[in-house]
Amino acid sequence: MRDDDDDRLDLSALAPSSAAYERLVQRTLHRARATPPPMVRWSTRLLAASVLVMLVAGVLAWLPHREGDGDREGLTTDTLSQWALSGQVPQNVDLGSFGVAP
Amino acid sequence: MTSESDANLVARARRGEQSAFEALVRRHLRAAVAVGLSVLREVAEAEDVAQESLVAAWQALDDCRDPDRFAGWLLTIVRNRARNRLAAGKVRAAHADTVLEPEAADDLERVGERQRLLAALETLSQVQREVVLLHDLEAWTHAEIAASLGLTEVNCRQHLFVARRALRTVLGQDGANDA
Repeated sequence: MRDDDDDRLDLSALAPSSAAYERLVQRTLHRARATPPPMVRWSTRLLAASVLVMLVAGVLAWLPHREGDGDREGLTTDTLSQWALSGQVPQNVDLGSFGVAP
Repeated sequence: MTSESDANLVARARRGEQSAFEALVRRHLRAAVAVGLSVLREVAEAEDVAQESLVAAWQALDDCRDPDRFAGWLLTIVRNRARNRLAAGKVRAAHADTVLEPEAADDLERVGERQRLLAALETLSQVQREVVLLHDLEAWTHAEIAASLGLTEVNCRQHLFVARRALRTVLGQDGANDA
């Protein structure tokens, strides 16, 4: 419900004509199109977060490998095959690095 | 004519739907210009700050905590940006790309009436201008204006009463509607 309608002032001269209003709308939309929409900004943030997670995951995956490099160096497929066939623990394998007492 | 709520439009606009943002622009640009006018008292400046504010709102839609009250949130942006312009002394800077189309589409009588109204509005306070423009030009209710401005409805009615009386005195209407 509109109130105080009876006493309303006529301020319509301040309003743009319908054609001018349409131009104003179009100009606003043009300005908005020149900037990235929220979805793009959101996607960019998501992409940045994904890259960050991948980097962290990569570093975390790499660190234990580096720590074990010294202990498990030489633990190649050949070594494992030899180990399996002979039943003897190869000399270059430190069972301690596997959490097994020698 | 669409009756989709502002909340729905905001939700769709947040997903990047241009059509939803366009609907919000069409629905609220006039009020944004009115608020810009209440602060800057210059039509071209008001139109420019309204456009700028809508684009800023588009960029910051995620910050609109209550999408049902998008209009109030938008008008706060307009008000703040307009005040910043005034404070920075940017008003009446060169505006070669203004949308104001005085002589071309408006007849001289309308241009004259516009100038007369703008001069009369100068006699009001900013709050009075905003109240009278939103109520009498944009047909907002007192409840809507009060919510937007952080006033009580009673206070809003008082501002409207005083503003109308002052305008009628300046315009020489004294209760008569001359338009």
